[in-house]
Amino acid sequence: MANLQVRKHVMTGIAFMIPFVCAAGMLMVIGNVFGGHTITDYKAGFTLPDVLTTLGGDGLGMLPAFISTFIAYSIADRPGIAPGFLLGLLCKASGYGFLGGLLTGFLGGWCANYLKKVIKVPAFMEGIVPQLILPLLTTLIIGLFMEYVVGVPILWLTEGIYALLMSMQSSGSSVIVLGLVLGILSAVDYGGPINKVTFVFVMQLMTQGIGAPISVLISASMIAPFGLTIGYFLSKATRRNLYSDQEKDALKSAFLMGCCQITEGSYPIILNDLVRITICTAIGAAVDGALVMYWQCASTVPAGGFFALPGIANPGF
Amino acid sequence: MNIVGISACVAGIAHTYIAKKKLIQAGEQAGHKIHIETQGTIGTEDELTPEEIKDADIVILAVDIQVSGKERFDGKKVVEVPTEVAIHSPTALVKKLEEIVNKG
Repeated sequence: MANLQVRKHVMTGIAFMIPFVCAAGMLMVIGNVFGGHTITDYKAGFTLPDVLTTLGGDGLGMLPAFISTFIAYSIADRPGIAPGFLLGLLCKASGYGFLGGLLTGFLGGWCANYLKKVIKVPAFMEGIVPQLILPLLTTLIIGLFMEYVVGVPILWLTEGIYALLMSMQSSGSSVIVLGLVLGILSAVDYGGPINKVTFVFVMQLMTQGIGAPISVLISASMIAPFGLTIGYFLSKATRRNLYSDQEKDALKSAFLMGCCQITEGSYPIILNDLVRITICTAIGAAVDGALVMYWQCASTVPAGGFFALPGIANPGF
Repeated sequence: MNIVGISACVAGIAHTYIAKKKLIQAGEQAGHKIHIETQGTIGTEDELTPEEIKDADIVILAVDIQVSGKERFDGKKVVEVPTEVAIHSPTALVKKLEEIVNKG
């Protein structure tokens, strides 16, 4: 039990989730831009934007199930997939949200692993264990545990955070502080583990309908590549040669990836001057976070960089 | 000596490949034969062959996430570190691998 590797499993889940979030988020943004609405009655007819919005929106709604599935997979390999998915659906249905999905991923994975070890059956029955017994027992045990033991505290917790943030939103200064902190946490390790943990937190808030924190993360993730790019043009303007040829090359792809909210492209440049760039990034991200929170630029899309703009409220200048 | 390994990071687009490059540079500089497989978002690339794994003295996993195919290394000496370590101090990492192999 000494080494549960919690971080690694969350990271594996997020690694699988990123393409999912990007695809679903983009579909929803494109649909929304062209006036799409979520389809409730297919018989009543629908437009192409409606289809995209619904496709993306349904996808994002499935996030608890998705993260649960892949955390359980990370822990228990294939036997984790079925229970992880079923338990994640339960989180979606019961309103435990993204946090619940994380939890069922872990519980389902560990439970499947444990059962794999302890269940001993005669050889002729071995085939039935992974097919039926493991997924059934794991889902049953953890499902009941979620509904009857931890479900209520999770609802308290998520509602508590919700109430706290709502009360913060009514007073300008504490919102700004929250923005400062979220901005720094989002940007300071360039898409590394701190950023991903922050992502888990703001993602939970987004599924609860509080969209501004995730806008902070989206914009703050773009601070480093944009800062470096602006720095390049400033260095041109002031005729000081700040970048090596190799860095100029890296900057092109860093900027492009930055537009899509992928910070990692800046890494080759950042590594060469880690401390100073990180200080600048943190300051920039803090200002950005504070402004986004203050202006309430709430997002309905969890990722996408510039392409998420149509999904963000109050984008004006 | 012969080194094989896997690199994989969370986003699976940048650190994975930087770690691979750094490890190969450091390994070859120290005169070793080294092959790194990447498991990025695009999937597995430069997959290790069974012969390479058989001949390997040590396996280095520079990974932040769960990777697939670890059972291929059963019975081998396996060292697992975050990609960060391979990126920031690849030379020290290779030296450490040498020590582990030499200790037997």
